Amino acid sequence: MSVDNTINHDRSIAIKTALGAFLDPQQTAQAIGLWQEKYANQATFSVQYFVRECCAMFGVESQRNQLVQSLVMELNGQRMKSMTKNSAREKSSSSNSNNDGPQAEAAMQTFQLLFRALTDSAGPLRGREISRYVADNLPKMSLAKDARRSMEMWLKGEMPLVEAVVPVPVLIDLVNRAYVGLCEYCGPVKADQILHESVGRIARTAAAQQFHPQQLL
Amino acid sequence: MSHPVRLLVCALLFFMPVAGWSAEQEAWREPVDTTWVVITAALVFLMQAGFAFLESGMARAKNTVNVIMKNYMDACYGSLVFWFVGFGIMFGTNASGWFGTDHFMPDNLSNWDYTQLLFQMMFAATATTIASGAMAERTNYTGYLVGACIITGLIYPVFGSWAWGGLYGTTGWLKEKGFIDFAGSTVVHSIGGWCALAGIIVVGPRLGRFGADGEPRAIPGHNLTLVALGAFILWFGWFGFNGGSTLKADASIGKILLNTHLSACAGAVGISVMMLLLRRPVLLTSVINGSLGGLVAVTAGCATMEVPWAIVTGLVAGMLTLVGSALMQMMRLDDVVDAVSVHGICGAWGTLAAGLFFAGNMFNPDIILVQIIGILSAFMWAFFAALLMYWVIRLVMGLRSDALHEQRGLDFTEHAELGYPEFQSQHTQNRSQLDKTA
Repeated sequence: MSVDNTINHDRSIAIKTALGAFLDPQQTAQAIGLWQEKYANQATFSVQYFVRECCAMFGVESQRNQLVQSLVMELNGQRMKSMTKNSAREKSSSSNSNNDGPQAEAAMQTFQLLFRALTDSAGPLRGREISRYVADNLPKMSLAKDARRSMEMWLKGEMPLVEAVVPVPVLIDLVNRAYVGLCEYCGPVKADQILHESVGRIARTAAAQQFHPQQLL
Repeated sequence: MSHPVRLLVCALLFFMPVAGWSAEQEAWREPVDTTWVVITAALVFLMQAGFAFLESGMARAKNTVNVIMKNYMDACYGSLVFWFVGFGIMFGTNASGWFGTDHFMPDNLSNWDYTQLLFQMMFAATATTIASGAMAERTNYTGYLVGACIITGLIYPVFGSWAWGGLYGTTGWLKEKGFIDFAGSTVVHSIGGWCALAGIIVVGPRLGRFGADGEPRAIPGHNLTLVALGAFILWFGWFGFNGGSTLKADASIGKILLNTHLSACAGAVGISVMMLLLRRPVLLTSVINGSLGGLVAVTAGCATMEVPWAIVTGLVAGMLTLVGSALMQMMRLDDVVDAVSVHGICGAWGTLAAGLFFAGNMFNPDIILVQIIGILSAFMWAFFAALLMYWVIRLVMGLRSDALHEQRGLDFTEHAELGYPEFQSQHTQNRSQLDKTA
């Protein structure tokens, strides 16, 4: 099975598991068909549109948020599984495969946790302002168009950050922008405290085992 | 003459009135003066340690090494530059009255001229280092040092030549008018303070120092013990600064040092009383700045004022440090150690006070006018020259550290060394990068 086919297979399982709790088996099969037909080759953020279309099709608009969350959790879970599988495969085969993939994925996981910890610590209103400030600075960063779009939507809270891969130096820049935002909105002393506490908190999570938050500073 | 006897004679001569000296005693004049001036030069050098402690204590822990490095290195670069070009501009033959034109890279001088060169070199270093505290925590190390070299090599000595110049023939235009600045309230401190003002305008405030609506946010220093120690060292060094400016070991030193000390005390009292009247907490940092303001202010007139007026000078200076600090915050200017207020504003006040309270000729409008001309010309020259200089540095090589450096701390990013590796946050820096450098 090719890599693309494996990924599509894994995603189909994730969609089946995630939507299964909200739709009957026939609807779930239809949804998977829809995804494979229209969204399988789309950018990551198209998940949002896929869920919207499913909700409209099966009349479950009221559960849209839960559906998105469930789907994102499953997709992330599948991704982590495949990451683990990949790294095990890399270790056993000792081939010259590219190690950046799993590392970049782990960096993204840690980044999301750290960024959210920073903005949440600032309070809901200021947290949103800081996220918006960082989003406004995205055009200045060297990001691929697709990744920038995903990041922007995630920062604006419009959709989860799924499968976007951003180079670590850009992630460092993004965390720094959040720190600048914290300084401007909460004051520099508070900003240093929040940064210290957030990194400490994230360092104790499972994600830090794969990619330590200090590497984003 | 045996060694102990020679020492005894030296000590006796030190306390003898000049008029009563015999020819043999006169032969001891230069060695005694040299001894005094060289010792005071060393005391003035010690002030660098005072500045380093005070400024680093007022900065956050993550910038300690950077502040100390700037103080350390501006003294080193500054001394070399002053020898190379500054001394010539300041004290060389001053035919125009605007700058000296010889004695660059001075060599083969008389013993006494070497003594003066050493003493003046320490003064130049003091003027230069004032800006470092004001611009702390967000200024690029290299950009700052280039600025320090230009201050020592050009901005400070040019004004110095106007007020003190002409050691080797003719004299500066301000000196010619009778400008009184005994030890440098304006020549050293205001010049440093105005350069600092230009620097903080160009470099901008630290991240988050002012809120969106302009309200200032306090960024407390990391170590008030260091601040206090630095202030004590500065105070002690000031006895050399003002006492040595007699350039001879004579009987006036006692009164000069008494004026110096009392003015500093009055400065501290002035600001603390003012804060009590304003029902504000009496902060250690504010009281220290009050006493430093008193020291700066009395520097111009400590040799020409009677004691009560030195106290008045210090008292007013202490209050001015508070006013100056509030003024800076109103203008959204971020001065980490209130250097502009302490050195710039109090220096200007002290220079005016030297004219107002000139012993035997107080409140003479002619003297006061010359003092005002001196104060204004110092501001016009130093502020605008430094503004241009820092602006060019910003364009050519960058003056402001980037935001990531401010987040990590300049100790980490500029020097790869931490001031407190065991105690500083383990979380906010990627220490593995330091290990690679070590």
